[in-house]
Parts: sequence; C-alpha cells; structure tokens
Amino acid sequence: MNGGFLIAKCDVIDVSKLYGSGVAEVRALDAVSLEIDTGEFTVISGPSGSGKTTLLNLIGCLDTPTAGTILLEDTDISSLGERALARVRARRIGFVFQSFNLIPVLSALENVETALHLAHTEGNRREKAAEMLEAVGLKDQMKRRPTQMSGGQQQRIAVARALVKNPALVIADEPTANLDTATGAQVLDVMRTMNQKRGVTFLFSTHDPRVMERASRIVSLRDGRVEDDRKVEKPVGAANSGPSSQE
Amino acid sequence: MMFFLKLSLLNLLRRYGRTTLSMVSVIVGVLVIILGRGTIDGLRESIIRGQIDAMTGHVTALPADYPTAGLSHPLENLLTLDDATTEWLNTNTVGWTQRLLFAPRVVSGMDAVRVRAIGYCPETDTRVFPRGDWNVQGTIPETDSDGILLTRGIARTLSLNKGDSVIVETRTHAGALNALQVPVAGTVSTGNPAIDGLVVFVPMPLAESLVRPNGQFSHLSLLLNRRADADNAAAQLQSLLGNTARTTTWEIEAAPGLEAQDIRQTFLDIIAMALLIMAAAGIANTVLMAAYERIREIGTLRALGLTRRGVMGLFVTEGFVMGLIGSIIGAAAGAWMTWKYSIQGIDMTSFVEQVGASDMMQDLPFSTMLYMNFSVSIIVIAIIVGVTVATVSSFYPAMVASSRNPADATRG
Repeated sequence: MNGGFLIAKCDVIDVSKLYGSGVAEVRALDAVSLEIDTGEFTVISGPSGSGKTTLLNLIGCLDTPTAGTILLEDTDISSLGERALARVRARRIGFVFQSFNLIPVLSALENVETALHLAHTEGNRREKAAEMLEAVGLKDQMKRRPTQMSGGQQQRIAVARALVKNPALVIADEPTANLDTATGAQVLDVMRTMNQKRGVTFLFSTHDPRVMERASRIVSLRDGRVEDDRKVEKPVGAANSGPSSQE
Repeated sequence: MMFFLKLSLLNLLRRYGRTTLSMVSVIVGVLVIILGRGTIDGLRESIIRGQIDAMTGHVTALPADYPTAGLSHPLENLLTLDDATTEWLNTNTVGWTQRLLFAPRVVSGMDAVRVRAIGYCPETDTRVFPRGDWNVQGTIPETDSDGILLTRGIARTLSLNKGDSVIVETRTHAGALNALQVPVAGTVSTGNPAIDGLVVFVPMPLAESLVRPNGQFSHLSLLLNRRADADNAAAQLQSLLGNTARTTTWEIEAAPGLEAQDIRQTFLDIIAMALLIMAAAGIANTVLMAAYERIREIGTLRALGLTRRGVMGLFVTEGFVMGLIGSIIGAAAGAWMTWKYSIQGIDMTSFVEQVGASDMMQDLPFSTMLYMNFSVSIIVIAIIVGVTVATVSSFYPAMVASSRNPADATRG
C-alpha cells in the first residue's frame, strides 16, 4: 500500500558540481554516483563542506550539475530548463528545511495549501491540506500562524506541506537541527511513519545521530565523494525492515 | 491568481507603516494630477467664459481698422446694419447686440481718469452678455438721464459712490469735444478683472448724446447655439458686412490667455511628474526592501515550484496593489474636491485684488469665480498613471528577487 503516492527511483550518475573558476574553483561534488530506491529512508551524512547540501540541491532540482546525469523516475532532470525544473519541484519533490521556511503571513493550513496551488493540484485543496495536517497531528492548530507555534509544530507543518502533493521524493536538509531532542524525535517519528505508511521516499542530510539511527540507509560523503554507503538492518522506529509499500 | 493576490496583500500588511508611506506618495501624485488638471481646465474655462460673457460673445464684428488692444477706441469709421444682415442675425443667432466703445475722461472734482466706456443697448445687451456674476450697488442705467455705471476699480480711484455726479469728456464721432455732467447710477463688480479696473457702462441713449454716432456703433456681438460654430458664423457675417468690417471670435481673442494656460499646464504636468517619480522611487524602495527581507521565503516558494516569472509576478503584484489602493484613495479625494468646487466654485476676487493681479490681467478676461473642472476621464487617467507608475517601479526589485538561486535563497 502506498496511499496513491508516486514512488521514486533516483539515479545519480557521475555527478560533479563546481563552483567558481580558476584558482577560486571549488569542486563540491566529484563524480558521485548513487541509486536511491523506492521507499528508502536515506541519510546523507558527512562533515561540513563534504557536499551533502549540494547533492540534495541537485537531486531536488534546486540547482543543476556541472557534469553527470540525474534521473528521477527515468526523467533526466540534469538537462531540464528553469521552468521544467520548477514543474518537477512543484509536483514530484517535497522539501523540509532546517529553519522550517514557512510563510509567516499564512496560517498552517494556508502554508500547506500553497504547495497544492503551486503544483496546480486538482480537487479541494483546502480539504487535502487539512487532512495532511491532521495526519501530522496538527488538527487543532490549522488556523494558527507559524509564529504562534513551537518549532516542532512548525516543522510538522513543513512535513505536511512536503507530503500533501503526493511527491515522489521528500528532501529534508538538517530537519532536526533547530529542534530540541524530544521535539526532533517527534518530527522524525512523523516522517518515519509517513515513510512506512505511505511509502514516501525520504532523503536527509544530517549530522544528527537521532536521524541516522532511524535511517534505512546511510551514505557518507567526504570531500565531494561517496566514502561509505551502507544499509541499516534494524533502524530505530521501523515497524518492519522496509516501507509498507514493500510489505 | 486570487491566492497570489491574497499573499501580496498579506505581505503588504506585514509592514503596513512602510506600505502606507509608499502609498501616500501615490495618493499625493494622483491628487495633484486631478486637482491640477481640474484647476487648470477650470481656469481655461473661466477665461473662455470671461471672454464670451463679457467681451465678445461668440462672434464680434468691429470696424476693419479697429486697434486690437489698448485704450484707443477710434470713432471715425463706425458700423451700420443693413436689412440683410439684420435678418441673418435674427435668423442665425440666439441673440445679438450693438455696442459703442469710446475712451472718455471721467472727471470728479480735481481728479480725472481715462476709461473705456461701453455704450450698451439696455434692451438687447443681456441677450449676449449675461450679468449673473455682477454685483451692483445702485441701479443699472437705461436712459440718458439715469447716468452711468462705474466699475468698482474706477469708483474706488475717484472715491465715487452711487448718487454722486461726474463729468464725462469725450470726442464725438465728428471729432469735436463734448462733455456732460451725469449722475453715478451705481457701481458694479463684474468678477472680470479685464472689466472691473477700467470700464464704465453707459446706456446707449447717453452714449449717443456724448459721441453723436448717428445710429452707428463700433461693435456688433452675437451669441450662437454652440460656441464651436463661431468660425463659420464669423465667416458668414464677414461676407455680409464686407470690407468695412472685420469679424473675430471668442477663440481668437482668448488665445493669448489660453496660451498662458498651456504654459501653466506644462508646469503642473512637470510637478505631477516629479511627484510620481518620487512615488515610483518610494515604491521601488519598499518592494526592494521586501525582496531583501524575504529572500528565504522566495527560496521556499521557488523550492515549492514557483518559477522566476512567478516570483516577479508576486512582487509586481505588490507594487500594483500599492498603486491601485493609493490611486483609488487619491482619485476619490481628488474627485470629491473637484466635484465640490465644480459646483460651489472658488471666489478668487479678494485673492486677485490682494496680489494686485487685476492690473496685470487687464487684457486677460476671466471670471474671478473659478469653477474646477470635474472630469471622469482625468480621474481614470490619473488612476491608470498611478497604477502604472507603481507597477513599473516594482519591476526592478521583482527582478532582483527572482534572480536569486533557489538553493541559496532557501538558506536566506
């Protein structure tokens, strides 16, 4: 069961990313290859400057690689133009940011609805947004603005916003970095539950051991290269060894 | 679309103080356009009205060699009416009248002043020259024994009031000197500086006693159904009167005054333009600051799938909304004021007297009662200009906002 969600399979093939030129040139990623399977709860780890965020930005269509190919559900997103990338982001990728990145003038419900507007989703957007907020445990907080809510609640809105449009892939960049231990664990549990119940593929960048212990796979980067790539047999919080879609 | 409009409004309300200040500049710019245009167009109409109602009617015929300006009113070659012209006048005009202009000296004791005397036909003069704005102390004379009506400026110069008597000295049509002692029937303020400073009104019977024109006259003025027909009527009248006369229209005579209005109009347009440039700078600054403050939000919206054009649209919408609200407020205030003063009018008599403008305006006929021009088209144009300026000025900041790389922008 996958709840009608799209299922991602993302192939990163020999991807490099350079910034600057000449003596100021920085090689953020150096011929990285990676295959992310359907329903994975994958963590990209590594020290600062290892290329985690760059890799997530490229997979998330926020940036384009200098060399190499990225296939998302067999679409070569590395060769798409600005508008086509925006369309992929709108419909197939959800984002969860370290600083929540909610629109402060909008209510929780409107923030989630924004994702549906931009994805040009058909049907009753408000209803879908409300259902998703209920799913992340914010049924009674829908009308409140982000500034009136705790960090954990804000990050749950962000998770709801990422998931409401049935994305192929959710990219979460240090999602627990601004949360205390208990709240971070709660948010991770929400994401793990969504991963397991709905089979949504999650891709994290983090140093946070709480995230890593819940991951089904950990990819370590160092100096723009893949240093280690391992599956986790029994992740914390996992009801089963894999997502429910594979049950 | 409604979603983004709502988002723009909410973003503007987020910094309502700054937004309000930016909108004030739009409000002022739009208000200046409407009030300035209303005033200038009102003044323009006032000049035209002053020319038609007090000087020429729609068309005036006068002797061919008559001087175009000044206090020289030659009496040698005067006009007469034949039957054909009279019939044409009766058929083709709303009203017509004859006047005899001459330049007597009015003497009171040891004081004397040269004036322009307008000899008028009591029965027909008001058919062409209405007296609605006249403020008369005393009576308007109709017979030679009634005396003369002094305009307020001359009455003040010679310290005369109704009931006093003066000596009027003039040359006759034949060139002889003539003088009569006549009573002052009253004093009048016509509301037209070109009249009030140097004219005395003399009923035609008394004018004939003074000038002896043998039934001839110096000016024939007529009123038409539409002032736009003046050129055509002047041409027809010219052909009837022949070479001994020349015809002129209100438009020709008012042209110098209207040209001055055009200069004022240009000056006002420049002021309005300067204000709108300031408004544009204010709005551009507001939107630019918003763009810098909201970099992370822009990045988030880009990450959610908003295109560069979408980001531009969001910020341009904010400029548009500011322009629209500011323009509507400015237009509402301007419309109310121009509507009010188009009906009520602004009495500029004391202002004109205080600044001594009546001397400067002796050759510029206009009514000192200024009625502003209420024009829906000017209001619509002002709103369009205000909205366009605000929208266009937000393009640059919108471009700045949309040019940010989404990956960088999400981190702020």
